[in-house]
Amino acid sequence: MANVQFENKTYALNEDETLLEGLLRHQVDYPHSCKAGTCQSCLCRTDSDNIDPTWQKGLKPTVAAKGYILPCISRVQQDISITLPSDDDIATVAEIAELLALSHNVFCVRLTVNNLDSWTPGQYLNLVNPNGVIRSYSIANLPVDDGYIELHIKIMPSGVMGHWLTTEAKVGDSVTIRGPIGDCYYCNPNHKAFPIVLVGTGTGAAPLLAIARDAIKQQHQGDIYFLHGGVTVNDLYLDSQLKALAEQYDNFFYESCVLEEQADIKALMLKTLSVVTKPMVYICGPSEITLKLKKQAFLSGVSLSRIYSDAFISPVPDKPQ
Amino acid sequence: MSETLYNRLGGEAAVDAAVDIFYRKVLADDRVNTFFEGVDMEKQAAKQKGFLTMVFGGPNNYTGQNMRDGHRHLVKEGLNDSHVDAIIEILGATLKELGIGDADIAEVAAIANSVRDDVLDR
Repeated sequence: MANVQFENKTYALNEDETLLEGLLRHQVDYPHSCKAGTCQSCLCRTDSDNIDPTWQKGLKPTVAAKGYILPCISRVQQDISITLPSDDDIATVAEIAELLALSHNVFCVRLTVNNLDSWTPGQYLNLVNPNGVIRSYSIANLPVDDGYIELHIKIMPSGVMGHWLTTEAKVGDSVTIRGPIGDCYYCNPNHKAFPIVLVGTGTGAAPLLAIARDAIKQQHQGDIYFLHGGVTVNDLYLDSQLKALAEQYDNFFYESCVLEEQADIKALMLKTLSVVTKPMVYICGPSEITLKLKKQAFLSGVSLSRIYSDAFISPVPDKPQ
Repeated sequence: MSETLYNRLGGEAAVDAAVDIFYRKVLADDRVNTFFEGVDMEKQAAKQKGFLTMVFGGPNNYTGQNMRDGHRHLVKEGLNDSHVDAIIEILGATLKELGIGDADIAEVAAIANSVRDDVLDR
């Protein structure tokens, strides 16, 4: 008979009952709904090395690869420890290694940590500065290869973290990072040659750059399309870097568009989707445009299981005191 | 006809095949798509998978109470019989596209119809 460990307590499981049934029988207040492996309300994470694929039915490969399971369809033979997704971002101390401006309103922070390999390119993290300000940013590079984690921070007129980074923060300062979080990353264990379409506006390009570099590093065989939109040409802050990638790799294509010239990212995305077959689509950027693009990609025929997205949510400004 | 409806339709694989088509039709249909504005698409697809499993006669734990609780806020926004009719019509069109015969489509529609009063909270 196996035991399940959850929130520092251990519960004995009966033969033939699922993890969820066991927890509920012990009157644990555990989130759930359909009990049939469908709604994913009970999603949790385990560090077990003995995950049975049947516990992960219907999960995206990038979610399954990070050790997530569905307790309502998991029958375990061995002891297991589980955590809810909301409790599994671990705090790590990082040191600021470099601070530099990438454009008129995008600032780059490079951080060194001891466990570079835990930070998957494209996932995101929560950055906590010494004043306790916390904001989410995507990992914009290949931490293991580069030796640091790179974040691209859009400087907003009233942005608290941006203000701190550009005026007070110094190389050598300590910050806390929590995470990594998210299922928006390159995952292709069977080395399939599908096309990849990366669509982003503004600093949505940051995780997409990481995903593109990761795919290239893992010798992705399909074509990779990088579509970057901005309001003005000044927003295309990775233009030279992406053009260089397109020069260097035959299967990497970069296209950009700016609203000021009446060129719309949605039209560019739909045009690209119309010429590729069964693509994997990644969409990142401010939440409003990202959710619209995601819906349009789905309506144009891309399966939801092949759309990965990170919608950046702007913090609600604090009310003046 | 000893085989169950769910098995005749193709079981879980049929549900997987139907969910994208069904959801895409729902989002494209102006009669009902306003109820789906701003929802988390993944969570919504998971719920629709549960719904399709139910109306396909498959194993599920959806109860009338689930359907009632899940739609009550929409009834306040004006969800009514015409919307349920539209969903059942979209369901039929989805199944037709998957090559399902009329008799089985009618059976699926009957199951969907059986939760109408729960969905509309009456």
